[in-house]
Amino acid sequence: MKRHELYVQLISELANYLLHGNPKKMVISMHLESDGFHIAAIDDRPRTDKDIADIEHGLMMHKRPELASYYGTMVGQDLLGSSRLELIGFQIKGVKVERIPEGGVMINLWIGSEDFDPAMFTISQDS
Amino acid sequence: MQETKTLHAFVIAVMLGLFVVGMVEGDIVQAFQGFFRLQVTPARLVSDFIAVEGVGATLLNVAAVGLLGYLFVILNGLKITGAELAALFTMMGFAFFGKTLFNCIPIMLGVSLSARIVKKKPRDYALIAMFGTAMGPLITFIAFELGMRRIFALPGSFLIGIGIGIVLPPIAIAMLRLHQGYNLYNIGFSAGFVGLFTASLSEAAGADILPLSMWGTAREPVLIAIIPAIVVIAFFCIVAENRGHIRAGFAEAFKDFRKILTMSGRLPSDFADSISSKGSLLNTAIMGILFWLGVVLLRAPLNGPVLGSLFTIVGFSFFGKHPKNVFPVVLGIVAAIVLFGKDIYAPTPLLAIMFGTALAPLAGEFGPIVGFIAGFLHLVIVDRTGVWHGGMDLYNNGFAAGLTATLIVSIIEWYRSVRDE
Repeated sequence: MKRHELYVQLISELANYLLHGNPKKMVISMHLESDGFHIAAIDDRPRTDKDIADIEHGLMMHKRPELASYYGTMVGQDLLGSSRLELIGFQIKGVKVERIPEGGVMINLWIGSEDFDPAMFTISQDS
Repeated sequence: MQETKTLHAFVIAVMLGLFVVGMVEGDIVQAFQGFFRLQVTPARLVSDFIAVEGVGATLLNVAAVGLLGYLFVILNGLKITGAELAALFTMMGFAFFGKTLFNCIPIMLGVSLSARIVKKKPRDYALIAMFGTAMGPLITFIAFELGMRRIFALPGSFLIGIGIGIVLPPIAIAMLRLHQGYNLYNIGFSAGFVGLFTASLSEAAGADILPLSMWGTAREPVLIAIIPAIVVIAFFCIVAENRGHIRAGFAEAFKDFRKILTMSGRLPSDFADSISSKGSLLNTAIMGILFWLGVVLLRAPLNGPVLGSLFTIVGFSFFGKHPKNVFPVVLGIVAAIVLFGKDIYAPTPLLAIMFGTALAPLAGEFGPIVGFIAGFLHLVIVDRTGVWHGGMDLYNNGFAAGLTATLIVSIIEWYRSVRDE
């Protein structure tokens, strides 16, 4: 149940962020691993290099357990005001943001327990 | 790495400065005796420790409570950034009027135990533990105000403090969702909620919770100089971070300060982490000096509670507050004071101007008009909330701000959902 909740909250926050850009297409996929999971979100909204840098900055992995366990509980809970990628950033182990050939952007997130090594995901970060 | 060192240096310099001034300000023996007496002094709102035991003893208490918070951060292996500085300065600020080592430690232990119960590490709830010391007066109340025999009162108060600490995290997390991060003093909201129940239980059990009003009129030079001294330390840290290049250091700090002004301040907005330590130090210096000037020009007392509120502003200028988002809120509070004919020098309105800035994220996110309305409503409600929890929640303004933010967020949420249909 705890995991299930986290999946829903992270997907909800990510979807909220992407939907703020009014995309015509948005796809979110999730791949479960034994000790973590990979979320990939794709939309069709063209973005500048600065936009991508901003997304990366927002999602920048912060090892801030004190913020993750307290303020991080707001992730995906509230959809009022601007979405907050940093709330996702507290929870993740790996991130990759890239443009896709069709236009738009693909955001890859790897999430796992404290001892989890994102390099062990069957879907590699380079794929 | 250099940024973290700068922030460590900043907070250590402030604590050390307060300790040294506390010792040399008057008679050193009296200061230490006063410090020990403060540990057993009633700490409910409003207990101005400067009025009770003098400047020296109070400054020693502030430095000691700050050191407790600092050691807690270090022992938990946390970085010193905006959130930690907000918590440390809030702890120090309220040690001018309520927090003591005696009443902080059980709550911090309780919150750490709560983390263990849910198989987390104490560091995961470290911020809740530090901010949670707002409930300190309850421990002092049980230990020294209820009239119980010491042999029962001391362990009893300690155990109740631990109990409060255990229940605080789930309540804090639930309250956060109510106002969605628009009240910077979320633990104040949570502690007010707990305080409401504990005060009601105490009264139901026959205890008299008489209001306390120890409000000094101190305007001693040493007290007036504290905030400017902190501002000077912040400036030194900016210069030190740029290895002595004064002009370049301030140019970069100003550039980052302008970035901070574009942020809403909604929880968690860690300016030091997401922008830079230089920019956040400059923001802190500007905010500190602006509010200090306001107090000085008003010729209001610079007593324990007022200094405490200035410390809280200094701390939260690393974590959510900046001139652009606090101004509309302050204007709203002042407008309410004028409209309702309140005395601006009375404790509640004066402290509301300072602490009401907890609502700054509303102005930052939804604009100055919403910020103004939030400030206006805050003053109206803060007058009542203190009585509800019998002064047990030191962050009474945080409690009132939580209620105000919840009201405003609910209306905006409803309006947006209807408008979008």
